[in-house]
Amino acid sequence: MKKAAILYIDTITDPKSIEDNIITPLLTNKDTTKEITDFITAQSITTKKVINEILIEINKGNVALFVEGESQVYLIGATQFDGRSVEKTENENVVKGPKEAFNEKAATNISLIRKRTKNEKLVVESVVISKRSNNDLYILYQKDLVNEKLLQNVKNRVKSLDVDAIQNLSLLEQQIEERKYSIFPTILYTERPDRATSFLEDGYIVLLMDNSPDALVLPATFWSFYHNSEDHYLRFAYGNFTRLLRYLALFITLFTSAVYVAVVTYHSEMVPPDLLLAIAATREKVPFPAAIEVLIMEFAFELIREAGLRVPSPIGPTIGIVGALILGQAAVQANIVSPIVVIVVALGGLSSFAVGDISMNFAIRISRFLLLLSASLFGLYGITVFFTIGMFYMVSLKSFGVPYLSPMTPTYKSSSDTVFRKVLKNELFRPGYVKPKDLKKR
Amino acid sequence: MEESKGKIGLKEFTVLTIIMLGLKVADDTPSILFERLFNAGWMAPIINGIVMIIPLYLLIKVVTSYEQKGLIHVVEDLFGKFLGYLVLLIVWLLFLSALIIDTAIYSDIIGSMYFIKTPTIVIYGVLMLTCAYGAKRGLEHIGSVAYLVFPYVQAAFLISLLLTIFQGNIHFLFPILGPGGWEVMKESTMRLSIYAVFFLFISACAFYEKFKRF
Repeated sequence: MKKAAILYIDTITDPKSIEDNIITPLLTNKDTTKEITDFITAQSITTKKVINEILIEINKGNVALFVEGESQVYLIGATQFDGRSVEKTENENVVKGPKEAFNEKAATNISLIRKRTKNEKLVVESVVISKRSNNDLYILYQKDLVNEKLLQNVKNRVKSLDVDAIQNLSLLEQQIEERKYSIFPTILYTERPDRATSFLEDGYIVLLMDNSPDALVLPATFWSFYHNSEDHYLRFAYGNFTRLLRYLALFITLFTSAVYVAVVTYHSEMVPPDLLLAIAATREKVPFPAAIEVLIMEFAFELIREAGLRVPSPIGPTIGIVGALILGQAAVQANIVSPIVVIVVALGGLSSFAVGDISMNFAIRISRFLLLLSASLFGLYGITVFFTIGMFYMVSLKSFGVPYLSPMTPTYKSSSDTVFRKVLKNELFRPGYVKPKDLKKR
Repeated sequence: MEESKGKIGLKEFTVLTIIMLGLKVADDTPSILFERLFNAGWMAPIINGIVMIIPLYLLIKVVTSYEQKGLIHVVEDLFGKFLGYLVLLIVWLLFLSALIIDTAIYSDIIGSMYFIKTPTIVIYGVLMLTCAYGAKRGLEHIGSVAYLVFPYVQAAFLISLLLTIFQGNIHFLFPILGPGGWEVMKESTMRLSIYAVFFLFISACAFYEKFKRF
């Protein structure tokens, strides 16, 4: 009869599993010739001798078993962290297609991806990325597709991190991106396992972490932010119809208020006389210049949006009433803004929801204000100048060595899935800009 | 990851050429031509183009025989260090003055069309700032931007063509020779500046990805 002790942290282990798989076998075992590893039935069991390594394992929720007279410690897996189950998507909703979303457990997220690509070439590598909190990062890639240099680049960047704690992927994204002050995002953030999987199958790299109900996909191009997984789930014509809508919405968001200000302030000869008279009549009583007027409304719209996001849900409906009534109607009746401005701003605001990705959405909203500013300074000329500079900026951006607007320009061999998509039959290639080992899809 | 080396692809190159040629239509070239040639002004670019083929052919022939070298190196090689430098300096001065005149005209057009009260120098400054920003990014990015903007330029020209085509009168094409055959020939060959951009492009051909295929 030997003495033994177990050590574990109560809040992150599963007591039932300890009872059934560790204590009961230990007490009931009669055969003295058996090794401990032979009769413990837990999901994993390893042995370690260094105290620090044992501590890390205990912190991860494993149980340490000390046995009298032995110089090693048995580490038995009985982890149980609490979290929610797999739920529906909240941000990237689709009508047609799977509705599962990632949750905060990396193990669940990996299983959601493995469920979609049953292939032993899918590699999950785990790296510890922070010094104090020992946060794990999982790097996923298809071994026979991914570009080695890209992978090495990502690994180096992750390994060179020197931080105490990185809780989740949203924070990691900001640690590893190239241009930290840029307004355009260069890493895609998605909550859909199907989307992450389809990127994996194209040779991209996916990052997963505990506490993050999402995955990071890299490298990302402008198009991956503009696309939506439903574009491919819908039939060719319908998918491209939504693409067209989104494309127009993108331009409407960027340009309506800027063009309105430019035309009213500098280029009134461009407007047909009847419309010009109508605009002039509504603006007659408004004391502000058009630029200020639009800016007030845009600011109010952004406020409603931010308030709607933060307000506790019982008070939620109030925001709608305040927004619609006070800003829409009362502001016009009080002659602070003209009705046309309300239309212009509402149209731009509505269209800004068409681009679903939160980071790209912010980028577009910010550039809308910059365009508005340049329009109020230099009219259409200012818009053109700003647009050209913006284009130059976007073209010169790179995400892990991949040009931001590829494959449109510079051109690469790919399925040309940019503004519009092709029929599935004709999508023959993986994107050439990630330099996959196997370019052809079939 | 194969980093791009500041080279420009075929699509971008073609589009850049078209846009730079097309720019000539938008500045004061047409008004100069029509001032001298009246209704035969439309013939000038055509004759111009035909005449231009000869020097262009020679230029390409020379440059292709020097593989992967820009025109600058070719000139230096042919004329020697000093004379080559002089030739290049003259060419550069010519282009610089053309550039100054062109951009000044653009700012003037913008100013007199839309911003009557704004000093031209401000408009010119903004224009130059944009150009400088683009130029600093390099030829590859200029090509990419040109390629991105091209569809919109095409759409704009198509719309303006549709809107104006009904105002056109086919009889204005005649008499074909306008002020006389000799005048047309002379004016057309004198004003080769329309196609001068080709010279610029060839001098930059070291940046061009697949020059040998040309």
